[in-house]
Amino acid sequence: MNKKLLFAGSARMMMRYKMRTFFMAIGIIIGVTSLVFMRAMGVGAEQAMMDTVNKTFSISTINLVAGGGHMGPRSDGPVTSLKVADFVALENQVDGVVLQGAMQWFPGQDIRYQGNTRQMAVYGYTANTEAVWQRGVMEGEYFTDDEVQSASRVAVIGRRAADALFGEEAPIGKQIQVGSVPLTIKGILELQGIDTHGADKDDEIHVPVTTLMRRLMNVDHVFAGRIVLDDPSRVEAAAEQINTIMRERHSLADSEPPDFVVLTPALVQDIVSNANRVLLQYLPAAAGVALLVAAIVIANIMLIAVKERVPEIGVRKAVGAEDGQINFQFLTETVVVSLTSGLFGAGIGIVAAVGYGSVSGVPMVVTIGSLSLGLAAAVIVGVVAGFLPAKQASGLNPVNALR
Amino acid sequence: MIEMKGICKSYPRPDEGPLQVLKNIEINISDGEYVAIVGPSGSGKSTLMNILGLLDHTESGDYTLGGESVSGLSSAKLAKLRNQKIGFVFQQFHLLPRTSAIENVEIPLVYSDADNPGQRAIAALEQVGLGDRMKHFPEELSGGQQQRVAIARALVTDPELILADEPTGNLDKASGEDLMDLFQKLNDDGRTIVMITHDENLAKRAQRIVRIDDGRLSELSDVDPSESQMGDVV
Repeated sequence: MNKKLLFAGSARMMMRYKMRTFFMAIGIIIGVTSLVFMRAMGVGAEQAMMDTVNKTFSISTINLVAGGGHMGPRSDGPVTSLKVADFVALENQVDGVVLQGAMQWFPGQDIRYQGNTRQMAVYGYTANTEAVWQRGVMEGEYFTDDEVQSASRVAVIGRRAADALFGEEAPIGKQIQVGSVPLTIKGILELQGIDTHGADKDDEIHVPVTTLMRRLMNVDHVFAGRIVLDDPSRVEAAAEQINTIMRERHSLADSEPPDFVVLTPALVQDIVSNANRVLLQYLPAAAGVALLVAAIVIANIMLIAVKERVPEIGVRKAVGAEDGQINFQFLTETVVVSLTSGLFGAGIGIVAAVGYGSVSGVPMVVTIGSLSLGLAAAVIVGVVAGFLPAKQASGLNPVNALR
Repeated sequence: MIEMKGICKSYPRPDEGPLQVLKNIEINISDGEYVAIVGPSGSGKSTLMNILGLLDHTESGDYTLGGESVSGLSSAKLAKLRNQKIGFVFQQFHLLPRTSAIENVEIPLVYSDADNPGQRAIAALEQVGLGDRMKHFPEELSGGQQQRVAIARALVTDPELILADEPTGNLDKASGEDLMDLFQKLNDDGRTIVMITHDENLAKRAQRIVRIDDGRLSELSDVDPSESQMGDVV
C-alpha cells in the first residue's frame, strides 16, 4: 500500500469538498480553540497565584490562623483565643524557629487626612515584617520594636492609599486620623499589587500590632501570625510541634476541635490548586462537550459521504483495495480533517490567548501540555467519528457497489 | 490465462427456489486472446464478468487465473490478484468526480507497492492518447475521453488481463469506434482482453466470440484477426 498516495488523496478530498470539510472542521476548531484558551487562562491564573503565594509565603514558613479551619467571618464572632504570647511561646519551644510575628487586622476603617477620607484595612504587624512577611518600605521607615512595645501612634501606608489621601503632598511625617486616634506616617510600603484573596495590598496601612489591638480595636487577641524556620525540611515536624503546643496552651481536650489552623506551604499550594480546579479542569471539560458534538456531526457527514461514494468504493475494491485498506482510508480521511482542524484550533487558541492576555492583562499561559491535549482530543474525535463510516465503507460488496 | 471448469452460480430468491445464473461454465482463454462475450441482458454475462474479475465467489467449479487456482483464496489475496493481474473497464466509467485524470489513474497504485506512481500514471495516460489532458477533471472531458482515462486506470498496474463490461455502452458511435481501436491496439501489444457486450457488431472486432444464454456458454466462432482488420477497412 502506498501511504503517500493515500494521504495525498485524503488531503485532496478535504480540499475539493470544502463545504463538507468546513462542517466537519468547525466543531473541532471551536472545541480545541476553547480548550487551549481556557487551559491558558487556568494555567496562567494558577501560576500567578503560585507566584504570589511563593512571594508572600516562602517554603520555610508556617502560618498560624485563629479559628478552626474556618477562615472567613464567623457567625459566633471572631475567635479570640490566639494571643501574641502564643507566638512568643512557639518561638521558644519549636525547634528551628528563627523569627515570629503576630498580626491583627481591622478591615474597612475610615482613614482621614485633612478633608480626605478613604476606607481601607488597617493591619497590625510586628517590627520584623520585612523578614517575616517579605514586605518592607519603599520610602521612609517601618516601625521599630520600641514602637511596637510602646504601642506608638505610627503607621506605614500603601502607595495607592497614600496617593488617594495625600495627592501631591509628601505623606511621610504627616498625621492621619483613624477614629479618634492620630497616627504619624513613617513610611510607604513596597508595592505588592492584588493578593490571592483579591485585596489590593497597596491600599492598606500598617500599624504596630499593639497599637491596633489596644488603641484601635480594644482587643487582646490577634488574628494570625507566622513562624519562620531556619530550614524548609523542618516544616512538617514544626507543624506537628505547633499543634501539640497550641492545644496545650489553649487547654483543648483531645475530643475538642482546634481553635487554630496551621498552614504549611504545601497545604497553601494545595488550597490554591483546588481553588483553581474550576479553571483548570471543569472549563476545559466544557470544551469536551463541543468536541463530542463535533464527533457526532463528523460521523453523520461521513456516513452520508460513504453513501454518496458507493461507486468509488466499488472501483477501489475492483482495482485491488482490501477491506482493511478501505477502512484505513476512510479513517485516515476523518483523522486528516480532524487533526488539521485541531491544528487550526490550537493556532487560533494561541492567538486568542496571547491576544486576550496582552489586551486585558489577565495572565495567560499556553503550555505544550494543553496544545498536545487539544491535538490528541482532535485525533480521538476523528478516530471515534470515523470508526462507523469506515466500517460501513469497508464492508460494501464490490459487485453491489458497482451496479 | 483463464481456465474455468464447472462453474456454477445461483442467487437465492424469496419465494421460489434459487435462480441458477451460471450453469456449468467451461471456458479456456489463452494469453493474448481477445474474446467477446455476448448475450442478452439477464443471460448471466455480468455475473460471469464478476467471477472472472474475482469480485464474486463461485459455488462450485475451478477457476485458474494465470496458472493459479483462485478458489478458496482469502478476500485480501483476491484483492491483491485484482490489483496485479486484472484491469477493469466499466460501462459507467466510474471515475472519481473532482479528481483529475492523473489522480484517477493513480488510484490502483494506492493499493500496490509499485514505485514511481506518478510516472506510471503519465505513461498510462499517454498510452491511451490523453497525455495532454492529465490535469483535467472528468467533468471537463468527453465521454470517450473519460472512458480512455478509465482504460489508463486499468492499464496502470500493467495487468495481463483487461476485463471490459460494455465499455462503449455509454458512448456515441464514433467514440465507440475509437475505443474499439484502442482495445485492438492493446491486444496487439499482447494483452488478453475479455469484453462483455450485447452488441454483436462490436463483438466481431474480437478474435473469438462466446455467447452466453440462460447461464450457458457456447462458442460462436473463431474470427480470424486479419479478417477483422479487413472488415474495419471496408
